[in-house]
Amino acid sequence: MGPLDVELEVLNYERSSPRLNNWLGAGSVGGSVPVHDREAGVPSVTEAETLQPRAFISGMQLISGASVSFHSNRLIAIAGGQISTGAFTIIPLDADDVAVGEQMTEITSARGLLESRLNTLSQLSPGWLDGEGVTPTPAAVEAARHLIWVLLNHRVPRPRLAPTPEGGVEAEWSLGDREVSVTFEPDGSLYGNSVDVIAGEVTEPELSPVDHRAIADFVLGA
Amino acid sequence: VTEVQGEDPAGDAAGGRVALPPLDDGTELLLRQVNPNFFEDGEPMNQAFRPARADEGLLSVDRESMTTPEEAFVRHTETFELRSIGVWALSVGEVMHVELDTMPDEIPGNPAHCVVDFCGLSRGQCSAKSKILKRQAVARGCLYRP
Repeated sequence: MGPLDVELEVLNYERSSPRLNNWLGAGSVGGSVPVHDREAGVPSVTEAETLQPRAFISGMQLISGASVSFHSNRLIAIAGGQISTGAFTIIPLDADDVAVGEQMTEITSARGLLESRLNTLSQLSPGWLDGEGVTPTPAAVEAARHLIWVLLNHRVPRPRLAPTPEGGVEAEWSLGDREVSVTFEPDGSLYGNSVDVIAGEVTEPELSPVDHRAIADFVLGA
Repeated sequence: VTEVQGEDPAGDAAGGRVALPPLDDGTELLLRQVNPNFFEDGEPMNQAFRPARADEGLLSVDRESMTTPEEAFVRHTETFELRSIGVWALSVGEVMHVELDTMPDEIPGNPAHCVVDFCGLSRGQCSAKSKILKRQAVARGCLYRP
C-alpha cells in the first residue's frame, strides 16, 4: 500500500492541549482512496467513538467531536475535534504495528526536539546577534511549528533551526549534495532556497504555506 | 597596516581606509566565529557564513596567518565581548571558488581582521554561497571550541 495525496484539512486551529504536543501533527494516510475534497468538505462523517483504537497512535478518546472521513471502511482523514488542534497524525488501519511504532517513535522524537528548539528561539532576547537581532515573531514560530510537523509526516527529516536577524526562523537541511533552507518570515510567509554544492545550481521556488506536498518535494529534491 | 588616518591619498575620504587588493593565497585559512544561535546538532548553520543586514554585505573573518583560532576566539569573546560557540574556517580558495573576494580590513585591536565581500548580491545568491561555504567549513571541522 503506497502513500496517498490526502492532506488533512483541520478546522479551528488552536493548540489548547499542550500536553499532547508530541502526538499532534498532520499527515497522509495509505490506501487507494480518492483525494480529499477540501472544497466540498469532509466526504463522509461519523462519530469519533466508532473509530478503532489502533487507527491512532494518539489518545483518541480526546478527539471526540472530530469530523472523520472513511472510504472502504478505512479512516482517511480527520478534521477539527474538541481539542481543536491544527492536525493529527493518523495511520492506515492495516499498517504493520512494528513499522508504525518505529515511525511514530521517530516522528515523536523529532517533534520533541522541534518543540524544544522553537521554545528556545521564541525566548531569545532582542539583540541576540551581537546587539542586533529581533526576537522571532509568534507568527514565524507558529508557521515553522505547523509546517515542520506536517513535513515530518511527508518523510522530510527534522531540520536544524536558527533565528534570522529580522525576526524569522530558518530551517536548514543538508541532504546529499544539496543544502536547503526554508525561511519563515516574521509575517509567517515562506522563502525557499536550495543549492547543489557540487554543481552550484540554485533554486528559489515560490512556496505556499498550505501546499505541503510542494514544499516537501522542494526540500527532498523530488 | 591598513588603517591610515588621512595620511594616504589612496585612502577613501570617509574613513581613510586604504583599499588593499584581495587575498590571493588560496591555501590561507580565514577564521570565522559562530554565534551560538547559528549552531544546532553539533554544526554551524549557513547563516553563520553570510553577513547579516547590519554588516552591510561584509562578513568578518580573521587571517590565520596573523592569529590563531584560540587567540581569535578570546579576542572576539573577551576583548570585544561578542558571542561565539567556536571557530570554524574557510580557505581563501574556497571563498574565491564561489566568486567572492576577501579583503584585509584591520580594525582597532584586531590586525588580522578581514572581510568577505558579499556586497551587491541578491538574497538568493548570498544564501546559496553561504550554504556552500558552510558545507566546506563543516567538512574541515571546528578549529577551536572552549
